[in-house]
Parts: sequence; C-alpha cells; structure tokens
Amino acid sequence: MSVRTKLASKKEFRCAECGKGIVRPIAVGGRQANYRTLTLPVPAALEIPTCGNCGTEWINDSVARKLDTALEKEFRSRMRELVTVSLARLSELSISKASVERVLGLSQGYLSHLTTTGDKTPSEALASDLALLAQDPQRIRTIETLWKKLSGSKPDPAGVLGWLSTAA
Amino acid sequence: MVPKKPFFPLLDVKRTAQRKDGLLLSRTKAEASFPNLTEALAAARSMIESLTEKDFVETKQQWDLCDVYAVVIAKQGWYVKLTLLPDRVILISFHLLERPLRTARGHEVKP
Repeated sequence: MSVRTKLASKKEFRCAECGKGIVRPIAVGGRQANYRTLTLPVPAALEIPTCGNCGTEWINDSVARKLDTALEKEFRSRMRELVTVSLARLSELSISKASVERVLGLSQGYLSHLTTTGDKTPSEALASDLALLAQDPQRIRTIETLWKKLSGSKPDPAGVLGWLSTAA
Repeated sequence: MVPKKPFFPLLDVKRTAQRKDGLLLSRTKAEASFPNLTEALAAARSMIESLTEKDFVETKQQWDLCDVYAVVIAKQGWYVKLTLLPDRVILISFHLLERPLRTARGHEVKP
C-alpha cells in the first residue's frame, strides 16, 4: 500500500523528517517540552501531530497556542513556588521582603504582589537571585557593598569584580 | 541563462502558510531557536512572507520535493527548507546558517 493510500484523514501526512512514518494527532502521557529555561511535562490529553516512526512532533497554530498556554501556566507556577519558598526562608532569618526589594532594586511591594496575585510571571533572573540569597543570606550584605562600591564619583566596575571574587 | 525557480510557486506557499493551521514546523527545531512555539510560528510566517525568488537556492528530492532558501533576517543568514502539501506548508528546516550558502542567482548568503 502506498503512503498516500494509507493516509486516512486530511489531518495525516507523511513525515517530512524521516520520510517513512505517518504523522497523526496523538495524545499520550510522559511527553516533555522545553519552555524558556525549564523542561516541563506536556499535558497527556493534548493532541500533537506526531510521526509514528521517528516521533517528530509537528506544530501548527492550534497546537502551539494550547501547548504554550499550558507550559506558561506550569512555568509561572514553578517560578512563583521558587520565589515563595525563597522568601519564606529569608523571612525565617528575619530578612524582610522590603529589604530584599531594596537590595535588588525592585519597587516596594513588588514581591508581595508577585506571590499573592497570579498575573505576573517571575523572571528566571529574579527567581534564581532569590534562591541564591535564600541559600546564603550573607549575599545580601555582599550586594549592598557592591552597590556602595559602584557609587560615588569614581566607580570601578573591574575592581568590584576583583573584590567580589575575594568576598565570595 | 534563466535562473532556476522554486518548484513550489512562492505565491501558493505564502497563501497556504497564512491560513490558520496552514503552517507546520517540528517542535524540537522550533524550541531550539525560539522562546516559545507561538513566536516560532509567527517568525516562520513572517519569514515566508518575506521570501522572494532571489532567496531561492535549490529544489531537493528528499522523500518529497522541497525548496531550499537562504534568507537574511536582521543581518543574519537563515537556512530554510520547505515543502507544500495541498492544504499546508511543512517547514522542514528554519535555523541560522552554519556556513555560507549560494543562491541560484549566485548571491552568497553568510551566517
């Protein structure tokens, strides 16, 4: 039977990656997708046109929209969780959100807003900064000193980098 | 000498790619070059819309016939390989050039 006669529906086509398999919409668990900096699970119920031979997944508008929405939701949830546990750890050490906001140059109230409402996605940069501060709160003092060294009439960024390597 | 032309007429490729679900690209390749899939499809559509016969490199016989283009986007050369089905464009390759590529009209596109 030729590939063309095997194509049972208009949604199916021969895979352009391997040239052997038929691409059909498939919904299955255990799939993963890279989204920004994370690898996240793909919802098991989401149908993605997939080659039965090489497994290549072919994305169109409908699939992209559904997959991006699901991945963004999961990404946001994980970043918020990381921010929340990092701030809780800092709070246990009597380090307030306000002092963290000050040292990271954030607007006052920003971190509270981030953790109490779901309308913003914490960036990877912010979430990882907070995790590093929670892991070693001394870094807050280090950053405060860093900003002092960069202030004044004769800042020395190269010297600051040298100081940081000895302070670490 | 008359320059070689794409096997798939560009007008048909563009018209088909503009339709909803009229353009497909592989997820892993899209993830490699773009932050998310929606942006990858938007960039691919924009690229296809900008294609001209000057960008055409060659027609290849793989499993299906496909047209190869070398296109410059934001001063960077991109490799494009596509095939046209009756109701959709399959974008087989869409990534930064790894080496210089000469178009059918003799113009060299650099990475």
